[in-house]
Amino acid sequence: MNFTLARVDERLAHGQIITSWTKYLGVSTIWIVDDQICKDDFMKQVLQLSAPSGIKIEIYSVQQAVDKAEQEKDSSAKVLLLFKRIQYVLDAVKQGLDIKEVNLGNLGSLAGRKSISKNVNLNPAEIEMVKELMEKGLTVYLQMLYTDSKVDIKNMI
Amino acid sequence: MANLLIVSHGNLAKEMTATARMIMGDFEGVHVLGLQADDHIETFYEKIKKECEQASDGLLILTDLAGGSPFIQASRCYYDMFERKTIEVVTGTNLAIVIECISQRAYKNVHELKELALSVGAGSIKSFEINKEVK
Repeated sequence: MNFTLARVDERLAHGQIITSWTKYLGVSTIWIVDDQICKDDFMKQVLQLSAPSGIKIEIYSVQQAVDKAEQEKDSSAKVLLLFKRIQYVLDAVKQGLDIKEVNLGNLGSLAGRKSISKNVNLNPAEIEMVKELMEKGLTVYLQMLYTDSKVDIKNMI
Repeated sequence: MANLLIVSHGNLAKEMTATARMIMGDFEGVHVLGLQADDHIETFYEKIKKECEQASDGLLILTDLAGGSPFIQASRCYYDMFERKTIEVVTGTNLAIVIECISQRAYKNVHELKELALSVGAGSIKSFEINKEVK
């Protein structure tokens, strides 16, 4: 199983940004990993409808994603992992998901969040989660589009 | 006659309707909702729901962007109410769709109007190319 990218993007799978990432990476399957969305029948309908054409969307809970990654670890399938919340990246890594890097792509400026970069805003709890991911050996970096340079977040928080 | 509700981020719905009026002359019964930056999503949902409740013959909701909040909340109303109300939700609305739906809604029910929106929209996107065969 080749996780070509693990990305946190609140806009999830709709729009030009994720389309350009999937073309660049040569993937046609996106796993959306989220414990809330996987229980929301309505949101699952909307996500499937707004998927870019040619892209297969699979929606999993953290547990389901970790289990499926383990079951299919010898497959050569290329998958883009998409998260709406940093919490679920951390949960997945703690449960054994084998990823080395996390791309923070797009987190909006909600109340309580501080601006880290043009597209990434984090609240104190999220900053702690990022630090915990780094302590586990992951590189957490900012990169909105694949044409942007990768910026390691470690000196910015 | 199908009712029309145009829903968008910001003032797009309001302005598209005003522009349609400029092109077609006056018309009635086309409602508009715009989600502004500091609006609450729940309140916005309730506004759309109220339009759905009040539409006697069914409601075609035209939204701007797939995956955007106007589309999601309109779709949520559809999802919550489709068993007792005739509703259709279309996204990717452009001016051609707005104009055609306004001019045809006296002759079509909501489902037919939805099909019209989909075909008009897709067919309205072209580029100008010089065709040497044209005499």
